[in-house]
Amino acid sequence: MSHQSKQTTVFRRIVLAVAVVLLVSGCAALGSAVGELANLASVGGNDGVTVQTLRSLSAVADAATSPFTPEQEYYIGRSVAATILRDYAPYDSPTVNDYVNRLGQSLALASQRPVLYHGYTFLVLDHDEINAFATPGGHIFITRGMLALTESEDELAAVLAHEIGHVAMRHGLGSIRSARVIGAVQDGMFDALDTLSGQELAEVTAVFGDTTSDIVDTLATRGYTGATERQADAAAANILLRVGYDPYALVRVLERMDAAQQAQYEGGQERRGFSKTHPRPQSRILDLEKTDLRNVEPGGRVDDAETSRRFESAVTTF
Amino acid sequence: MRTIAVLIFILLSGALFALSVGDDLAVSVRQGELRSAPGFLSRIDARLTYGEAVTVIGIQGDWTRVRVESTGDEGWMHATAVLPPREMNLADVGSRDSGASSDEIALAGRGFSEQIEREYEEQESLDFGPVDEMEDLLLPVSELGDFLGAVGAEIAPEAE
Repeated sequence: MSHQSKQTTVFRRIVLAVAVVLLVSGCAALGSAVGELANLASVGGNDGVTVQTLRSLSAVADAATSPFTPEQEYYIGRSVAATILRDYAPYDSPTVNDYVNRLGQSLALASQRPVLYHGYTFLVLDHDEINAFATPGGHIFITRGMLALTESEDELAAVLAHEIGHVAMRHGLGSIRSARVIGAVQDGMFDALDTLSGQELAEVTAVFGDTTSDIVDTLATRGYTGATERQADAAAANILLRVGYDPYALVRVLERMDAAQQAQYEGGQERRGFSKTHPRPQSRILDLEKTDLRNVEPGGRVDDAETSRRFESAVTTF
Repeated sequence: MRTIAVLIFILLSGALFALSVGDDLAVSVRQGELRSAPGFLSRIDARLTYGEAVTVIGIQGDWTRVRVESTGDEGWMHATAVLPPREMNLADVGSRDSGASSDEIALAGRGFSEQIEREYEEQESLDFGPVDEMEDLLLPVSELGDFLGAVGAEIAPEAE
Protein backbone atom coordinates (compact mmCIF):
# COMPACT_ATOMS: atom_id res chain seq x y z
CA MET A 1 0.00 0.00 0.00
CA SER A 2 1.43 3.38 -0.92
CA HIS A 3 2.11 6.04 1.69
CA GLN A 4 -0.66 8.19 0.30
CA SER A 5 -3.30 5.50 0.32
CA LYS A 6 -2.25 4.55 3.86
CA GLN A 7 -2.92 8.14 4.87
CA THR A 8 -6.29 7.91 3.19
CA THR A 9 -7.07 4.76 5.14
CA VAL A 10 -6.06 6.37 8.43
CA PHE A 11 -8.15 9.41 7.61
CA ARG A 12 -11.13 7.27 6.66
CA ARG A 13 -10.90 5.44 9.95
CA ILE A 14 -10.94 8.72 11.84
CA VAL A 15 -13.85 9.92 9.80
CA LEU A 16 -15.70 6.70 10.37
CA ALA A 17 -15.04 6.81 14.10
CA VAL A 18 -16.54 10.29 14.21
CA ALA A 19 -19.50 9.17 12.14
CA VAL A 20 -20.09 6.33 14.59
CA VAL A 21 -19.77 8.65 17.59
CA LEU A 22 -22.27 11.01 16.01
CA LEU A 23 -24.69 8.22 15.24
CA VAL A 24 -24.48 6.73 18.72
CA SER A 25 -24.92 10.09 20.39
CA GLY A 26 -27.60 11.07 17.91
CA CYS A 27 -25.82 14.38 17.52
CA ALA A 28 -25.31 15.28 13.93
CA ALA A 29 -24.88 19.02 14.27
CA LEU A 30 -22.40 20.25 11.71
CA GLY A 31 -20.52 22.38 14.21
CA SER A 32 -19.85 19.55 16.64
CA ALA A 33 -18.88 17.25 13.77
CA VAL A 34 -16.24 19.73 12.73
CA GLY A 35 -15.02 20.04 16.30
CA GLU A 36 -14.85 16.34 17.02
CA LEU A 37 -13.18 15.55 13.75
CA ALA A 38 -10.57 18.23 14.28
CA ASN A 39 -9.85 16.91 17.78
CA LEU A 40 -9.46 13.35 16.63
CA ALA A 41 -7.32 14.39 13.71
CA SER A 42 -4.95 16.29 15.95
CA VAL A 43 -4.75 13.37 18.38
CA GLY A 44 -3.63 11.24 15.46
CA GLY A 45 -1.36 14.04 14.22
CA ASN A 46 1.83 12.10 14.81
CA ASP A 47 0.51 9.01 13.20
CA GLY A 48 0.50 9.77 9.52
CA VAL A 49 -2.23 12.41 9.48
CA THR A 50 -0.51 15.16 7.54
CA VAL A 51 -1.28 18.78 6.81
CA GLN A 52 -2.54 17.62 3.44
CA THR A 53 -5.09 15.36 5.12
CA LEU A 54 -6.13 18.05 7.56
CA ARG A 55 -6.79 20.44 4.73
CA SER A 56 -9.58 18.23 3.52
CA LEU A 57 -11.31 18.75 6.87
CA SER A 58 -12.92 21.71 5.17
CA ALA A 59 -14.94 19.03 3.41
CA VAL A 60 -16.14 17.72 6.75
CA ALA A 61 -19.81 17.71 5.87
CA ASP A 62 -18.91 15.36 3.04
CA ALA A 63 -16.14 13.42 4.67
CA ALA A 64 -17.82 12.85 8.02
CA THR A 65 -20.41 10.67 6.44
CA SER A 66 -18.88 9.51 3.20
CA PRO A 67 -16.26 6.81 3.16
CA PHE A 68 -17.52 6.12 -0.36
CA THR A 69 -16.45 7.53 -3.71
CA PRO A 70 -18.97 9.63 -5.73
CA GLU A 71 -19.43 6.66 -8.03
CA GLN A 72 -20.11 4.25 -5.17
CA GLU A 73 -22.58 6.75 -3.68
CA TYR A 74 -24.37 6.78 -7.02
CA TYR A 75 -24.58 2.99 -7.21
CA ILE A 76 -25.78 2.76 -3.60
CA GLY A 77 -28.40 5.39 -4.52
CA ARG A 78 -29.52 3.34 -7.52
CA SER A 79 -30.13 0.27 -5.40
CA VAL A 80 -31.99 2.33 -2.76
CA ALA A 81 -34.12 3.76 -5.61
CA ALA A 82 -34.77 0.29 -7.06
CA THR A 83 -35.87 -0.92 -3.61
CA ILE A 84 -38.25 2.04 -3.17
CA LEU A 85 -39.64 1.44 -6.65
CA ARG A 86 -40.34 -2.19 -5.73
CA ASP A 87 -42.83 -0.95 -3.11
CA TYR A 88 -44.15 2.21 -4.81
CA ALA A 89 -45.26 2.51 -8.42
CA PRO A 90 -44.22 5.63 -10.34
CA TYR A 91 -47.12 8.01 -11.00
CA ASP A 92 -47.70 7.73 -14.70
CA SER A 93 -48.02 11.35 -15.75
CA PRO A 94 -45.29 12.78 -17.98
CA THR A 95 -46.73 16.28 -17.40
CA VAL A 96 -46.45 16.17 -13.62
CA ASN A 97 -43.07 14.43 -13.65
CA ASP A 98 -41.66 16.89 -16.19
CA TYR A 99 -42.88 19.82 -14.07
CA VAL A 100 -41.42 18.38 -10.84
CA ASN A 101 -38.09 17.76 -12.61
CA ARG A 102 -37.84 21.27 -14.04
CA LEU A 103 -38.59 22.73 -10.64
CA GLY A 104 -36.41 20.30 -8.67
CA GLN A 105 -33.39 20.42 -10.97
CA SER A 106 -33.46 24.23 -10.90
CA LEU A 107 -33.55 24.20 -7.10
CA ALA A 108 -30.65 21.72 -6.96
CA LEU A 109 -28.46 24.21 -8.84
CA ALA A 110 -28.93 26.57 -5.89
CA SER A 111 -27.83 23.93 -3.35
CA GLN A 112 -24.33 23.68 -1.92
CA ARG A 113 -23.78 20.60 -4.07
CA PRO A 114 -25.20 21.42 -7.49
CA VAL A 115 -23.23 18.74 -9.34
CA LEU A 116 -23.61 15.02 -8.57
CA TYR A 117 -22.17 11.94 -10.26
CA HIS A 118 -25.32 11.63 -12.35
CA GLY A 119 -27.37 14.67 -11.31
CA TYR A 120 -30.66 15.12 -9.45
CA THR A 121 -33.80 13.49 -10.89
CA PHE A 122 -37.30 13.50 -9.45
CA LEU A 123 -40.24 11.13 -9.63
CA VAL A 124 -43.82 11.26 -8.32
CA LEU A 125 -44.93 8.00 -6.65
CA ASP A 126 -48.50 6.80 -7.07
CA HIS A 127 -49.40 6.59 -3.39
CA ASP A 128 -51.64 8.70 -1.18
CA GLU A 129 -49.45 8.58 1.94
CA ILE A 130 -47.71 11.91 2.63
CA ASN A 131 -44.03 11.27 2.04
CA ALA A 132 -40.83 12.18 0.21
CA PHE A 133 -37.48 10.34 0.00
CA ALA A 134 -34.02 11.02 -1.38
CA THR A 135 -31.25 8.51 -2.18
CA PRO A 136 -27.50 9.23 -1.91
CA GLY A 137 -27.41 9.09 -5.72
CA GLY A 138 -29.72 12.11 -6.18
CA HIS A 139 -32.96 10.22 -6.89
CA ILE A 140 -35.74 12.19 -5.19
CA PHE A 141 -39.26 10.79 -4.75
CA ILE A 142 -42.41 12.61 -3.73
CA THR A 143 -45.73 10.82 -3.24
CA ARG A 144 -48.97 11.87 -4.86
CA GLY A 145 -50.26 12.44 -1.29
CA MET A 146 -47.47 14.93 -0.53
CA LEU A 147 -47.97 16.67 -3.86
CA ALA A 148 -51.70 17.04 -3.11
CA LEU A 149 -50.84 18.65 0.23
CA THR A 150 -48.91 21.49 -1.41
CA GLU A 151 -50.94 24.50 -2.50
CA SER A 152 -48.41 26.51 -4.48
CA GLU A 153 -45.13 26.20 -6.35
CA ASP A 154 -43.37 27.77 -3.36
CA GLU A 155 -44.60 24.98 -1.10
CA LEU A 156 -43.73 22.21 -3.54
CA ALA A 157 -40.30 23.84 -3.97
CA ALA A 158 -39.90 23.76 -0.17
CA VAL A 159 -40.52 20.00 -0.02
CA LEU A 160 -38.13 19.29 -2.92
CA ALA A 161 -35.47 21.63 -1.51
CA HIS A 162 -35.61 19.80 1.84
CA GLU A 163 -34.90 16.49 0.06
CA ILE A 164 -32.11 18.12 -2.00
CA GLY A 165 -30.64 19.19 1.35
CA HIS A 166 -30.51 15.55 2.51
CA VAL A 167 -28.66 14.56 -0.69
CA ALA A 168 -26.26 17.52 -0.62
CA MET A 169 -25.32 16.81 3.01
CA ARG A 170 -25.04 13.05 2.42
CA HIS A 171 -27.51 12.23 5.18
CA GLY A 172 -28.37 8.84 3.67
CA LEU A 173 -24.85 7.50 4.03
CA GLY A 174 -24.68 9.01 7.51
CA SER A 175 -27.56 6.76 8.54
CA ILE A 176 -25.57 3.57 8.00
CA ARG A 177 -25.30 1.61 11.23
CA SER A 178 -24.47 -1.88 10.01
CA ALA A 179 -21.42 -3.23 11.81
CA ARG A 180 -20.58 -5.25 8.72
CA VAL A 181 -20.48 -2.12 6.57
CA ILE A 182 -18.42 -0.20 9.12
CA GLY A 183 -16.00 -3.12 9.41
CA ALA A 184 -15.72 -3.41 5.64
CA VAL A 185 -14.93 0.27 5.28
CA GLN A 186 -12.31 0.00 8.03
CA ASP A 187 -10.72 -2.90 6.21
CA GLY A 188 -10.62 -0.88 3.00
CA MET A 189 -12.92 -3.30 1.21
CA PHE A 190 -14.41 -0.48 -0.86
CA ASP A 191 -10.96 0.66 -1.91
CA ALA A 192 -10.61 -2.35 -4.19
CA LEU A 193 -10.27 -1.43 -7.83
CA ASP A 194 -9.86 -4.76 -9.56
CA THR A 195 -12.68 -6.84 -10.90
CA LEU A 196 -13.91 -9.08 -8.12
CA SER A 197 -14.57 -12.77 -8.30
CA GLY A 198 -16.06 -15.59 -6.24
CA GLN A 199 -15.90 -15.13 -2.48
CA GLU A 200 -14.72 -11.53 -2.76
CA LEU A 201 -17.66 -10.56 -4.93
CA ALA A 202 -20.08 -12.30 -2.55
CA GLU A 203 -18.62 -10.43 0.44
CA VAL A 204 -18.67 -7.01 -1.16
CA THR A 205 -22.18 -7.60 -2.50
CA ALA A 206 -23.35 -8.54 1.02
CA VAL A 207 -21.88 -5.28 2.35
CA PHE A 208 -23.51 -3.38 -0.51
CA GLY A 209 -26.81 -5.02 0.42
CA ASP A 210 -26.45 -4.02 4.08
CA THR A 211 -25.65 -0.46 3.04
CA THR A 212 -28.75 -0.33 0.86
CA SER A 213 -31.12 -1.84 3.42
CA ASP A 214 -29.80 0.41 6.21
CA ILE A 215 -30.58 3.48 4.12
CA VAL A 216 -33.98 2.18 2.99
CA ASP A 217 -34.79 1.38 6.62
CA THR A 218 -33.95 4.96 7.61
CA LEU A 219 -35.99 6.46 4.79
CA ALA A 220 -39.03 4.23 5.16
CA THR A 221 -39.17 3.19 8.80
CA ARG A 222 -36.72 4.66 11.25
CA GLY A 223 -36.39 8.24 10.06
CA TYR A 224 -33.47 10.63 10.45
CA THR A 225 -32.66 12.30 13.75
CA GLY A 226 -34.38 15.60 14.50
CA ALA A 227 -31.03 17.37 14.12
CA THR A 228 -30.60 15.92 10.63
CA GLU A 229 -34.09 17.05 9.61
CA ARG A 230 -33.38 20.53 10.89
CA GLN A 231 -30.17 20.67 8.82
CA ALA A 232 -32.19 19.78 5.73
CA ASP A 233 -34.76 22.45 6.67
CA ALA A 234 -32.00 25.07 6.91
CA ALA A 235 -30.58 23.96 3.55
CA ALA A 236 -34.07 24.18 2.04
CA ALA A 237 -34.68 27.70 3.38
CA ASN A 238 -31.39 28.77 1.84
CA ILE A 239 -32.16 27.23 -1.55
CA LEU A 240 -35.63 28.85 -1.59
CA LEU A 241 -34.13 32.25 -0.85
CA ARG A 242 -31.47 31.89 -3.52
CA VAL A 243 -33.92 30.98 -6.27
CA GLY A 244 -36.39 33.62 -5.11
CA TYR A 245 -39.14 31.55 -3.51
CA ASP A 246 -40.74 32.42 -0.20
CA PRO A 247 -38.74 30.51 2.44
CA TYR A 248 -41.75 30.73 4.73
CA ALA A 249 -43.47 28.25 2.37
CA LEU A 250 -41.54 25.57 4.25
CA VAL A 251 -43.27 26.57 7.48
CA ARG A 252 -46.66 26.63 5.77
CA VAL A 253 -46.20 23.17 4.34
CA LEU A 254 -45.00 21.85 7.72
CA GLU A 255 -48.12 23.31 9.34
CA ARG A 256 -50.31 21.54 6.84
CA MET A 257 -48.43 18.27 7.46
CA ASP A 258 -49.00 18.77 11.16
CA ALA A 259 -52.73 19.16 10.59
CA ALA A 260 -52.82 16.07 8.37
CA GLN A 261 -50.89 14.15 10.99
CA GLN A 262 -53.31 15.24 13.74
CA ALA A 263 -56.25 14.16 11.62
CA GLN A 264 -54.62 10.75 11.22
CA TYR A 265 -54.21 10.36 14.98
CA GLU A 266 -57.75 11.45 15.68
CA GLY A 267 -59.02 9.09 13.01
CA GLY A 268 -57.22 6.30 14.89
CA GLN A 269 -55.05 5.53 11.86
CA GLU A 270 -51.70 3.87 12.17
CA ARG A 271 -48.75 6.24 11.82
CA ARG A 272 -47.21 5.78 8.42
CA GLY A 273 -45.19 7.58 5.81
CA PHE A 274 -44.01 11.01 6.77
CA SER A 275 -45.59 11.07 10.25
CA LYS A 276 -43.83 7.84 11.16
CA THR A 277 -40.35 8.88 10.07
CA HIS A 278 -40.28 12.59 10.90
CA PRO A 279 -40.27 14.59 14.13
CA ARG A 280 -43.47 16.48 14.89
CA PRO A 281 -43.68 19.29 12.32
CA GLN A 282 -44.50 21.73 15.11
CA SER A 283 -41.02 21.34 16.62
CA ARG A 284 -39.40 22.03 13.25
CA ILE A 285 -41.58 25.08 12.69
CA LEU A 286 -40.41 26.51 16.00
CA ASP A 287 -36.81 25.88 14.97
CA LEU A 288 -37.25 27.56 11.61
CA GLU A 289 -38.96 30.52 13.24
CA LYS A 290 -35.87 31.15 15.32
CA THR A 291 -34.27 32.19 12.04
CA ASP A 292 -37.07 34.74 11.71
CA LEU A 293 -38.05 33.65 8.23
CA ARG A 294 -41.31 35.58 8.52
CA ASN A 295 -39.38 38.80 8.07
CA VAL A 296 -37.13 37.72 5.23
CA GLU A 297 -37.81 39.34 1.91
CA PRO A 298 -37.95 36.63 -0.74
CA GLY A 299 -35.57 37.18 -3.63
CA GLY A 300 -38.51 38.15 -5.84
CA ARG A 301 -39.71 35.04 -7.65
CA VAL A 302 -39.55 35.91 -11.32
CA ASP A 303 -43.24 35.94 -11.99
CA ASP A 304 -45.85 34.98 -9.43
CA ALA A 305 -48.57 34.75 -12.05
CA GLU A 306 -46.37 32.40 -14.07
CA THR A 307 -45.52 30.13 -11.11
CA SER A 308 -49.23 29.87 -10.16
CA ARG A 309 -50.19 29.13 -13.74
CA ARG A 310 -47.70 26.31 -14.20
CA PHE A 311 -48.35 24.86 -10.72
CA GLU A 312 -52.10 24.85 -11.36
CA SER A 313 -51.79 23.30 -14.80
CA ALA A 314 -49.34 20.58 -13.74
CA VAL A 315 -50.43 19.68 -10.23
CA THR A 316 -54.09 20.47 -9.73
CA THR A 317 -55.14 18.46 -12.74
CA PHE A 318 -54.02 15.16 -11.31
CA MET B 1 -32.57 39.30 8.09
CA ARG B 2 -30.75 38.53 4.89
CA THR B 3 -27.70 38.15 7.04
CA ILE B 4 -29.08 34.96 8.57
CA ALA B 5 -29.60 33.41 5.17
CA VAL B 6 -26.13 34.47 4.12
CA LEU B 7 -24.67 32.97 7.29
CA ILE B 8 -26.51 29.70 6.71
CA PHE B 9 -25.19 29.66 3.17
CA ILE B 10 -21.61 30.28 4.25
CA LEU B 11 -21.89 27.48 6.81
CA LEU B 12 -23.21 25.07 4.20
CA SER B 13 -20.69 26.19 1.60
CA GLY B 14 -17.97 25.04 3.96
CA ALA B 15 -18.64 21.59 2.56
CA LEU B 16 -16.84 22.53 -0.62
CA PHE B 17 -13.35 21.12 -0.99
CA ALA B 18 -10.74 23.88 -0.81
CA LEU B 19 -9.02 24.14 -4.19
CA SER B 20 -5.65 25.67 -5.02
CA VAL B 21 -4.01 26.48 -8.33
CA GLY B 22 -1.69 23.62 -9.30
CA ASP B 23 -3.79 20.87 -7.65
CA ASP B 24 -3.91 17.62 -9.59
CA LEU B 25 -7.53 16.45 -9.49
CA ALA B 26 -9.82 13.94 -11.14
CA VAL B 27 -13.29 14.34 -12.64
CA SER B 28 -15.69 13.06 -9.96
CA VAL B 29 -18.90 12.89 -11.99
CA ARG B 30 -20.00 10.54 -14.77
CA GLN B 31 -19.87 13.25 -17.40
CA GLY B 32 -17.79 16.29 -16.50
CA GLU B 33 -18.65 19.39 -18.49
CA LEU B 34 -15.75 21.57 -19.61
CA ARG B 35 -17.23 25.02 -20.21
CA SER B 36 -16.10 28.12 -22.06
CA ALA B 37 -16.76 30.38 -19.02
CA PRO B 38 -17.81 29.97 -15.36
CA GLY B 39 -21.57 29.34 -15.10
CA PHE B 40 -23.99 26.48 -15.80
CA LEU B 41 -25.33 28.24 -18.88
CA SER B 42 -21.97 28.65 -20.61
CA ARG B 43 -21.09 26.73 -23.77
CA ILE B 44 -19.91 23.13 -23.20
CA ASP B 45 -16.68 22.56 -25.16
CA ALA B 46 -15.90 19.00 -24.05
CA ARG B 47 -17.32 16.19 -21.93
CA LEU B 48 -14.91 14.41 -19.63
CA THR B 49 -15.20 10.91 -18.16
CA TYR B 50 -15.10 9.92 -14.49
CA GLY B 51 -11.54 9.73 -13.22
CA GLU B 52 -10.04 11.88 -16.02
CA ALA B 53 -7.03 13.79 -14.71
CA VAL B 54 -7.17 17.62 -14.66
CA THR B 55 -4.95 20.33 -13.20
CA VAL B 56 -6.31 23.48 -11.59
CA ILE B 57 -5.05 26.59 -13.41
CA GLY B 58 -7.49 29.16 -12.05
CA ILE B 59 -10.26 29.69 -9.52
CA GLN B 60 -13.26 32.01 -9.61
CA GLY B 61 -15.84 31.57 -6.85
CA ASP B 62 -17.25 28.05 -7.05
CA TRP B 63 -15.70 27.53 -10.50
CA THR B 64 -12.27 26.30 -11.40
CA ARG B 65 -10.36 26.65 -14.67
CA VAL B 66 -8.65 23.35 -15.47
CA ARG B 67 -6.30 21.83 -18.01
CA VAL B 68 -7.17 18.30 -19.13
CA GLU B 69 -4.07 16.09 -18.85
CA SER B 70 -4.81 13.84 -21.83
CA THR B 71 -5.82 16.49 -24.38
CA GLY B 72 -4.36 19.75 -23.10
CA ASP B 73 -7.85 21.32 -23.42
CA GLU B 74 -8.58 24.13 -21.01
CA GLY B 75 -11.94 25.23 -19.65
CA TRP B 76 -14.13 25.80 -16.61
CA MET B 77 -15.67 23.19 -14.33
CA HIS B 78 -17.79 23.56 -11.20
CA ALA B 79 -15.67 22.89 -8.12
CA THR B 80 -18.02 20.07 -7.01
CA ALA B 81 -17.29 18.13 -10.23
CA VAL B 82 -13.63 17.45 -9.33
CA LEU B 83 -11.93 15.77 -6.37
CA PRO B 84 -8.43 14.78 -5.31
CA PRO B 85 -7.76 11.33 -6.81
CA ARG B 86 -7.30 9.81 -3.34
CA GLU B 87 -10.93 10.67 -2.48
CA MET B 88 -11.92 8.48 -5.40
CA ASN B 89 -9.68 5.52 -4.53
CA LEU B 90 -7.50 6.47 -7.47
CA ALA B 91 -4.40 7.25 -5.44
CA ASP B 92 -2.30 4.38 -6.78
CA VAL B 93 -3.54 4.08 -10.32
CA GLY B 94 -4.05 7.79 -10.79
CA SER B 95 -0.65 9.04 -9.74
CA ARG B 96 1.18 10.82 -12.51
CA ASP B 97 4.05 8.31 -12.29
CA SER B 98 2.01 5.17 -12.74
CA GLY B 99 1.60 5.59 -16.47
CA ALA B 100 -2.06 4.59 -16.26
CA SER B 101 -4.22 6.43 -18.77
CA SER B 102 -7.34 8.21 -17.59
CA ASP B 103 -9.39 5.65 -19.55
CA GLU B 104 -7.89 2.82 -17.54
CA ILE B 105 -8.65 4.66 -14.31
CA ALA B 106 -12.24 5.29 -15.34
CA LEU B 107 -12.78 1.69 -16.40
CA ALA B 108 -11.35 0.32 -13.19
CA GLY B 109 -13.75 2.41 -11.12
CA ARG B 110 -16.81 1.76 -13.26
CA GLY B 111 -16.39 -2.00 -13.53
CA PHE B 112 -16.25 -2.37 -9.78
CA SER B 113 -19.66 -0.88 -9.06
CA GLU B 114 -21.54 -2.16 -12.09
CA GLN B 115 -20.44 -5.68 -11.30
CA ILE B 116 -21.82 -5.42 -7.77
CA GLU B 117 -25.10 -3.93 -8.97
CA ARG B 118 -25.63 -6.85 -11.35
CA GLU B 119 -24.90 -9.33 -8.57
CA TYR B 120 -27.23 -7.54 -6.13
CA GLU B 121 -29.97 -7.22 -8.77
CA GLU B 122 -29.95 -10.98 -9.20
CA GLN B 123 -29.87 -11.78 -5.48
CA GLU B 124 -32.72 -9.44 -4.56
CA SER B 125 -34.74 -9.79 -7.77
CA LEU B 126 -34.60 -6.01 -8.12
CA ASP B 127 -35.50 -4.25 -11.35
CA PHE B 128 -33.28 -1.31 -12.29
CA GLY B 129 -35.38 -0.50 -15.39
CA PRO B 130 -37.58 2.06 -13.60
CA VAL B 131 -34.45 3.65 -12.06
CA ASP B 132 -32.93 4.05 -15.54
CA GLU B 133 -36.18 5.63 -16.74
CA MET B 134 -36.14 8.02 -13.79
CA GLU B 135 -32.53 9.00 -14.53
CA ASP B 136 -33.52 9.76 -18.12
CA LEU B 137 -35.60 12.66 -16.75
CA LEU B 138 -32.38 14.67 -16.30
CA LEU B 139 -32.59 17.89 -18.34
CA PRO B 140 -29.81 20.13 -19.65
CA VAL B 141 -29.60 23.30 -17.56
CA SER B 142 -30.27 25.30 -20.74
CA GLU B 143 -33.79 23.80 -20.86
CA LEU B 144 -34.78 24.80 -17.34
CA GLY B 145 -35.54 28.36 -18.47
CA ASP B 146 -37.80 30.34 -16.21
CA PHE B 147 -37.67 27.75 -13.43
CA LEU B 148 -34.15 28.93 -12.61
CA GLY B 149 -35.58 32.11 -11.11
CA ALA B 150 -32.95 34.37 -9.58
CA VAL B 151 -30.32 31.65 -10.08
CA GLY B 152 -30.70 32.07 -13.85
CA ALA B 153 -28.95 35.43 -13.73
CA GLU B 154 -26.41 34.13 -11.23
CA ILE B 155 -25.29 31.22 -13.41
CA ALA B 156 -25.47 32.96 -16.79
CA PRO B 157 -22.20 33.12 -18.70
CA GLU B 158 -20.18 36.23 -18.03
CA ALA B 159 -19.90 38.79 -20.78
CA GLU B 160 -16.67 38.03 -22.63
